[in-house]
Amino acid sequence: MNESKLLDSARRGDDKAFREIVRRYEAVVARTIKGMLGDCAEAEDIGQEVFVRFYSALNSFRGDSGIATYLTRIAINLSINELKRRKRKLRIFSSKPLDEYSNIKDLKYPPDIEREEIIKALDSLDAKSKAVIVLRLINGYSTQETASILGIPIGTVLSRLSRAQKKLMALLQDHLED
Amino acid sequence: MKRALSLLYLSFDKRLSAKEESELRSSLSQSEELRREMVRIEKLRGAISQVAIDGFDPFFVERVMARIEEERAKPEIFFGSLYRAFRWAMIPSLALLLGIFIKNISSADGFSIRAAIGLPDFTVEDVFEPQTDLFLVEE
Repeated sequence: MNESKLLDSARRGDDKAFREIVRRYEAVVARTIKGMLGDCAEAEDIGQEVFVRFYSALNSFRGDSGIATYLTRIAINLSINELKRRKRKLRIFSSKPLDEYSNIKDLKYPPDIEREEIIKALDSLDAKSKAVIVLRLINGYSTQETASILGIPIGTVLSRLSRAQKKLMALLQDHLED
Repeated sequence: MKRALSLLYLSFDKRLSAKEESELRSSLSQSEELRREMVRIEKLRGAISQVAIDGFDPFFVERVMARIEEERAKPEIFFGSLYRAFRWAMIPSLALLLGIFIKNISSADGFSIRAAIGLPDFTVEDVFEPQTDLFLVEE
């Protein structure tokens, strides 16, 4: 069933259709949230919240942007809220950051870059920079799509990408040299 | 060099114009440092894009549907419990209201909604018009 038929059925209250939407887009939402927050307990809750919000907005969703883009936008916004909440919490309790990305599969990293180093470097980015890196480099969205999801101009995406990459480069400098 | 570096970063995320591309090519051919930077960017992007992230735990769909079911039930629970809590007071309240309406109408000059709900027969102006004679000082 194509996307618009699925949407129509879900709007008419067909739970099977909505289940299919969740099944289809679960991976996109998981990549976005776990890319932003790491694999933590909150990731699953936020993932569920994304779909619950989408369900509540089914009738107002016009479908201009496509389901994946819309869900990713909700996921990014909720993840940024969660990062802000964590930051506040850290400020209050001044505890060490959680060990995020702990279950990221240890796959195909260039052998000279330690997995932990990448994790640490990504975690050092601010929420806005992290969002562009997650959308563009991890989720593989185009620059245009990234801009549309975040609701910012393409120029801003490009400058955030460039700034974030320079920061990551500086942190991973030793591992990126020949 | 700064411009070339900026073009180099842009080239990964944006289609450069023919002029920009030839400018970048020329800079790359002349600068060893720029070529090394390009390799570093490629390595970095490669490393990040290969960060494979697991999906949610199994039965995620079921958990989402259960939450949606909970959300659906919420207004039902609220209005249902409201109804159950005040059901006993419904008929006496209606009878009381009806009694008040009948009393108001019977004591008024004619039948009107204003009379039924017992609104007094004066206007806002009557209430707020200042009684200027109160401010007159007797000589």
